[in-house]
Amino acid sequence: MMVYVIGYLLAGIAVVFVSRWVSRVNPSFQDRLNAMRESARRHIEAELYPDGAPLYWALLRILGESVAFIISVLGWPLVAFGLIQRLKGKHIDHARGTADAQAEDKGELLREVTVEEVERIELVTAGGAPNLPFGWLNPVWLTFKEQLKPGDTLWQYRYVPYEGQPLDAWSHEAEGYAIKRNGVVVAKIFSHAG
Amino acid sequence: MTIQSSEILMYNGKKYLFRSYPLEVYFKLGGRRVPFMVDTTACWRGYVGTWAIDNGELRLIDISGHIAEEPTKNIASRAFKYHIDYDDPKLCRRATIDAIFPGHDGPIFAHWYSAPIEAIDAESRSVQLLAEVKRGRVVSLKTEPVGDQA
Repeated sequence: MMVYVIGYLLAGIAVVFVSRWVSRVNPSFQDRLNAMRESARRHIEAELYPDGAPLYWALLRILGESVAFIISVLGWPLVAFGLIQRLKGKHIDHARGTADAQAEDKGELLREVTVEEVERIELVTAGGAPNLPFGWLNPVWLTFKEQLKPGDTLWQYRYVPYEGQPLDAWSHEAEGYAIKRNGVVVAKIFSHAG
Repeated sequence: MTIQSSEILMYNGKKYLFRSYPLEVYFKLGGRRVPFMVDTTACWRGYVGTWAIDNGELRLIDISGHIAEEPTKNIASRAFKYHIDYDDPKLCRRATIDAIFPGHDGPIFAHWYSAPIEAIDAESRSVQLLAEVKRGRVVSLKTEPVGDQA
């Protein structure tokens, strides 16, 4: 019996630490909110106690965090469920993002171009930027160009913002180029956006 | 959500503030991002860029903020949670244009940027500057009293 209890608690501790690690390396919107709350708490604490918080304040915090930790360890299946849902959600978002990107590509490929044409159009000659295609972003172009394989086609590409687009999408019209392979866009580069 | 600190735009000797972020666009396009120390939730990007419209071009002329050194790289995005001595060169250094565009101190022509800029006079807050930027070049620009949009 005791073995099962210890096993349960150890599993709980492991799940709680994994959950915290995920929050740290890949913070969600909620984690950012929590970070802001924590920041606000620190500011209030600094206002209230400019010479340092009293001991009972620190003890209260430690007590609060300990209770939260114990509850999380005891109820670790719930924490694990939340963690799985979160990771699943990320997977779904990623898949949705890929699908969106392909849908955008279908509608916004403007015309086929050659590498030489792109390098001529995108040559930055003003303002002290490197006198190279894509200027300061020339290394990005070189990496993009390396992805071209025999049989691929290069297309001028335009992104037009649309209602309900992902939050991290461009807010304004953006232009660039796409590599099309077997009818599918496999890589994109933008020369200017906003 | 905390209101984010503005970028600075210098035009005709006047200082304006605006809330679009050409450097963020640069990073998103694949430009070299450095680990800026986020020392306040009012500036998640960790820096404030100063831009100028000069000769019809949008140019980055200065940047303020701190860049994490090796010991603080992992906490740079949440540096506000820690008590960090920003003057300690082992922990971080002052942000410079050269850190993002190696070998150049500026001004940096923002050829990657195409978007409108809506800025407001930093002092009086009564004049706004509206500019349309295409590939870093200002294609139209006007200043007018706030609330006087025709």
